[in-house]
Amino acid sequence: MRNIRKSFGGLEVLKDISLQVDRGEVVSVIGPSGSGKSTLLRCATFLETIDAGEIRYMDKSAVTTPADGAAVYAPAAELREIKRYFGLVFQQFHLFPHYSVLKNVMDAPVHVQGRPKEEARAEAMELLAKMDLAARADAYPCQLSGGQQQRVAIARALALKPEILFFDEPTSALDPELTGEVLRVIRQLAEDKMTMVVVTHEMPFARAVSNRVIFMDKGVIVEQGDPEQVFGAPSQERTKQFLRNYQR
Amino acid sequence: MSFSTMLSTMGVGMLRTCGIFFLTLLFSLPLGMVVMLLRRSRFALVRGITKIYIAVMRGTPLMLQLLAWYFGPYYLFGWSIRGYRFTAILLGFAMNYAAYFAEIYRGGMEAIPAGQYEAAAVLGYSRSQTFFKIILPQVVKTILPSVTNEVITLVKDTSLAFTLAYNEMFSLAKQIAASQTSFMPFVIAGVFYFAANYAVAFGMERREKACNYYS
Repeated sequence: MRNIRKSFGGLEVLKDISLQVDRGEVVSVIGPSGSGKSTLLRCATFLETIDAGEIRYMDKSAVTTPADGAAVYAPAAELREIKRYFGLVFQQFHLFPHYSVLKNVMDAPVHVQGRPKEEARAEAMELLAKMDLAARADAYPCQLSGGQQQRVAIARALALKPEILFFDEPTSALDPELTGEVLRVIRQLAEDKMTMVVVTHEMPFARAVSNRVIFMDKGVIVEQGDPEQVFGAPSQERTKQFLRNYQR
Repeated sequence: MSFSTMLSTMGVGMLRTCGIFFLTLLFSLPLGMVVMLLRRSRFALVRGITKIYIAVMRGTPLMLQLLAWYFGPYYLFGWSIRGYRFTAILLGFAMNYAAYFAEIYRGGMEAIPAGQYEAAAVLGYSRSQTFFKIILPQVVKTILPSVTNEVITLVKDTSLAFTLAYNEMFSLAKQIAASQTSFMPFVIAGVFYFAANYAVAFGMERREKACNYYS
């Protein structure tokens, strides 16, 4: 993403943000509420349209901005192709309540990617087993705890075999006990070299798991770098101020 | 008149009442969906016209609308259509109930959290896939009680067809009661309406239970 600008009405939420993620990298995005972290993810996943800037995935260009003005998006068919490259895990999970756990995970591969049903089912069960939820395949989301639902949501995103996974505060809606099980899954994904961008408030987790940490505030990237450097010896005053809240 | 004769005479009326009932539902349930989609259109003009339509249908008595549908073509355009009576009845009922169903559907749609649309979008579902696979089943579950209400109202509203001199069951009941000076036809009518509504409520409750595997 290069030089992204995004405003809602009169409020400029993203002011010239540039971000590059390489394969296998795990990037954490931290920052106070209202800093634009979620908006950044939503722009990256086409849930919001940017006002200016460029977005590219792999070798395909999704959005460009000509010299004179507003961002131009690629045609719908092209965007559909690009969507296959990424997945998004929401803070509120947003599982489909009328589908069983198994169907939540295997439905998109079958109906969006056209994979054969049996293959999708087998892969879905494999994913659920990795999440420790194979036994709950026939349950409905309303019967699961928040942590379980989030793990199903992660499985659902992974089922489409994305190149990069975005996480929008995946544990913010969970109590501390359930947070752990989801973080464990994300840690495992990091070990499996899944490319990920995680917006999170879980500082110790961000420090331990990421290759790179980005601190955002008021629509700009204030500081980014190696987790040890950003957490241990932040160079910007604002970063220090923010992290102070997380040091006892 | 013996009881069984009364019953068989009214039987014709019952068939006609059922005819109005089923045909109205057949047309107004899908038409309500169309109206609801128009109401949510991107074009302000389409939305505006739809809102006026809904307001008029819900804001004026059905009896009045039936008269308008029946006499309108003649007084407005000078058309005299043969065999128009039943068509006018169906038009009146279907257009009226479509407006009510449209608002019920709209309520159900607006109760769906935006996150469902977003999750579907990110997963790559097309707009029609999202609507039919993800949104609609959830909407159906939400609106069943409201739809049941309207259907029960429709059972009873069928008697308004007497406005257009259509001899459905209730008008027949009145005629027989008057000529035979007996209250029995009304009792039969009452039992019929109650039984019909009981069947509707029973069927809808089963539908609700079927949808209730998640909540």
